[in-house]
Amino acid sequence: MSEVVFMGQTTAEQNTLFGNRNFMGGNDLVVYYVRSTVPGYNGCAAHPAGRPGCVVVRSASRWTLAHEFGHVLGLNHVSNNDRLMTGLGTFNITNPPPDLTAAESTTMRNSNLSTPL
Amino acid sequence: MAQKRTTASDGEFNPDELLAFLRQDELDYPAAALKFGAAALPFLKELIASGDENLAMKAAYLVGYIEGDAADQILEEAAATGSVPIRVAAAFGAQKRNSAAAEAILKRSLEDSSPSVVKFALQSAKASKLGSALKTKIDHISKNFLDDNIKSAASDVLKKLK
Ligand SMILES: [Zn+2]
Repeated sequence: MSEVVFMGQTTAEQNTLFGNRNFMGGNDLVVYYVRSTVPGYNGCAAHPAGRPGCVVVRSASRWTLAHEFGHVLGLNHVSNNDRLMTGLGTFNITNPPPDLTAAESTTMRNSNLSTPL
Repeated sequence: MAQKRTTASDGEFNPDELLAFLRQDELDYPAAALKFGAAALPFLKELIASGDENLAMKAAYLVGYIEGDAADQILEEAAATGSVPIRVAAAFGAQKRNSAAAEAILKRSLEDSSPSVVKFALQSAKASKLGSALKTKIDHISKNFLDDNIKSAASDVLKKLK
């Protein structure tokens, strides 16, 4: 994977990985668990257009999956280890479970990947 | 009070800050390499040898972005003795070293049994223009490696040499 890319361009290898979407609807988020990324991240939210999802590394923190889904649904980093979207590392989350603000919740609900129930 | 500077040049770094960096989900390695620098290498070497897969592999990637002989040495050792994620990090890191160091690392990585390690070793050989120097090993991979994708990746590197 390319360096420090959250939502941006994907490599040919990422495109191949995200091509695996058997039985998934267009808006379904898919998570790919991998041994490691290159270079080493806990996860990565970059995905090809129309194939929403993220990558999570097997040694990631227990909050990385939710954090990456947050990115996919439009959230950015904050500098606060009480919150899911901390950019300081979800390993360092201090008050599990971490918080989402009302505004973050609204952003995710407003994502065109979210389906009102 | 003057702020204590912790840059690559003054031979100091803060281990707690380094651990905090390595615990991030998405990491800016080039920036961290500048910030922590060669002073962090002995600590990074310890982390690579530790049992914590997440910290160990991230430490190996960070070493790849730090310049100098000491970092070359750590990567060469990591390529020979690390777990698969660490050996991949070493093979990837090779492309940012000088030719002699890259060649020393890739000689090991191209003999690896893991397709992931060999895949990144081939990429680094190509990026570092070491295809000719490592031609014998790459040719061997193109003919004998178990994974067909790796075989054809090796053949591609050889074709580009002609
Ligand atoms: Zn993030």
